[in-house]
Amino acid sequence: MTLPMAPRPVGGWLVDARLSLLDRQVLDADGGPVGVVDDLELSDLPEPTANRPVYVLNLVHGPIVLERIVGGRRPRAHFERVPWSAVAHVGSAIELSVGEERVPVGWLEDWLARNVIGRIPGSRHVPR
Amino acid sequence: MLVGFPLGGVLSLAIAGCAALVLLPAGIEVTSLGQVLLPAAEAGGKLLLVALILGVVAATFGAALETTLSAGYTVAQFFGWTWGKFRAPAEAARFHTTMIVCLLIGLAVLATGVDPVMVTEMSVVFSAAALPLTYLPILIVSNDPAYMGEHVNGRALNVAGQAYFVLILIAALAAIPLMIITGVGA
Repeated sequence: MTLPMAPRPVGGWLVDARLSLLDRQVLDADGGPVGVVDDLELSDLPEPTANRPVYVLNLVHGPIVLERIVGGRRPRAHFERVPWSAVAHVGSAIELSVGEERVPVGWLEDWLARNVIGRIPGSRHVPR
Repeated sequence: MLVGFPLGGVLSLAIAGCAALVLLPAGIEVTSLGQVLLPAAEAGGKLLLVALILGVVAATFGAALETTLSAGYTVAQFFGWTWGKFRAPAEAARFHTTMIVCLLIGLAVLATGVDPVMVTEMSVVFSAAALPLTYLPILIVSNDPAYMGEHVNGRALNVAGQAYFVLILIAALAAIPLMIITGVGA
């Protein structure tokens, strides 16, 4: 049995989430790399008979592959999320309409920036 | 690029040829980088020796930078961390920490007293074995107009690229059996 083709969207474009979203580089509004898409957070699945679409709520960044390998689930608060509304363009990379400061970063980045790299002289200097 | 690479290649070949002409008849087997330079230094005097030392420092320092950066970029891009030397280091802390850790691991390996020539030979063999894994994604991406735009591979380039992939595949498959059969060139 073959599955029916996905419905063609009206006034939009069709995106294969696995091909064009997952594992793609995420760029902020200035074009700087800020993360990759490790997972997607979807709206609740509707009843199979209800003819309602599923929405992508958030792009999720975090070590999700680790959980798929070793099992278990970490608290939802441990993942960094970017709302779909912040996505400006889906191309070879996913371009956001927000700046770097609006993209959450993990605790490890913060901790290392404060306690290790931040203590090295010149670590706040932006190279030209 | 058109000047630097050929010049570097000719100079390296000249040094290797010089070393082979002098050392091989004498039955001397080279075990360190410094010994390779001895014949050239013998022939060219002190000034050439100074130039050689500068060249060796530049080559090894450049290779160390390149390897360290490569480790940082590979790990950071795989996990999707913020990365890049265009940022302040504190803005890409995991990226820079990875590089520091890799540098320390490299120094630790060296401190065990292991033969650096042996390590180099082994790592070249393993990088040859892994080459298809890095070449294939690049070949796929260079065929993707979404990434490449007007620079996407044409038919002729693609034939060349895929022929080269077959070549790399053969080299990769042969690398580890050859290493075992020859005992790492011993």
